[in-house]
Amino acid sequence: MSRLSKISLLFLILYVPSILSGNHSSIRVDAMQITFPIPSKEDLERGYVEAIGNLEGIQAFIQSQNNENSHWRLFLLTEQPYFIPIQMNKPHYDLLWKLHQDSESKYQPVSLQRSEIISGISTTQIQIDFRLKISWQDEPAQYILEVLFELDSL
Amino acid sequence: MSFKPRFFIRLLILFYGWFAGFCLVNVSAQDRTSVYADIVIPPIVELKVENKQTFPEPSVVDMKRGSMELQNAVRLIVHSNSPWKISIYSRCDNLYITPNAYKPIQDFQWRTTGGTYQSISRSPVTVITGEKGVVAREIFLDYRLLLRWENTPPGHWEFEPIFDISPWESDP
Repeated sequence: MSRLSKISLLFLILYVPSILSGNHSSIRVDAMQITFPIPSKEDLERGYVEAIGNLEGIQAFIQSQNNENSHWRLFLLTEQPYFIPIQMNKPHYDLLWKLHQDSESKYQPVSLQRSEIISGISTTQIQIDFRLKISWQDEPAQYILEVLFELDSL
Repeated sequence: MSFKPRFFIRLLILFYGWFAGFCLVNVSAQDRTSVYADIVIPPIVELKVENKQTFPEPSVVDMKRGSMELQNAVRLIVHSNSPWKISIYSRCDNLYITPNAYKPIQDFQWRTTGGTYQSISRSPVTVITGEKGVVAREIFLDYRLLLRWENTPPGHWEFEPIFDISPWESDP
């Protein structure tokens, strides 16, 4: 076997098991639902309502596996242009989010593209606040939007 | 040109080794989870009654004419996220609060601007209906009081119509 082949085999032996074992992080979200209270007249006049529940948002746990120093990036997005039921035409960007520790001015709309929430290198717990823009133009209905969290491990 | 299988096998192993190394450096694992944002918006309607005017004391001229009128006597302001209707009615039969003086509430009439006067009653009557998504819509009402010598005795009368707003479903 030539030297070249031996080097290639060495690559296979050393690195493939490492790839297969999965050097990645995982995410766990502590709520299956971002619940908003039934809005009042005052909420409609103010123009928004904030999520209820534990600490007014949801918590996400990012856990680094196998390697405490693995680098990860957490993103948020939706794949739905409109809330369900879509015939009500309530756009996805009426849903706003921010990290709990950030100021009110940091609220930003949920996007169809990935927005980076935070990045890190170790196990972390974060809290995200959600706010929903509402108005007198919103017809009575139950509105639902799926929000995706994607965790990339490098 | 002759076919050399060992050469191709070596090339394949070389490529695979390179690919494994490439993946090690560049591959990123992804974890994905989702939550649902959920809100129930009920029908919400709001009515504000503003700019209430009061009738002046009737004069002889008013008595001879048989009525006195108050234009833009009241302003109604509507907010609603669903179709709505406003009703008007009275809780009493007598316009007077002075004891032993009586004037039927039917002598109190109302109309929307440009409409036709009609008497108020104890049964709610629809004043106006509207569509969804209304923000601060203004409706002005005119009032008219019928005056007759025989049923307008001296005394103090005090009357305020009741307005109700409620969700309304138009006929299909």
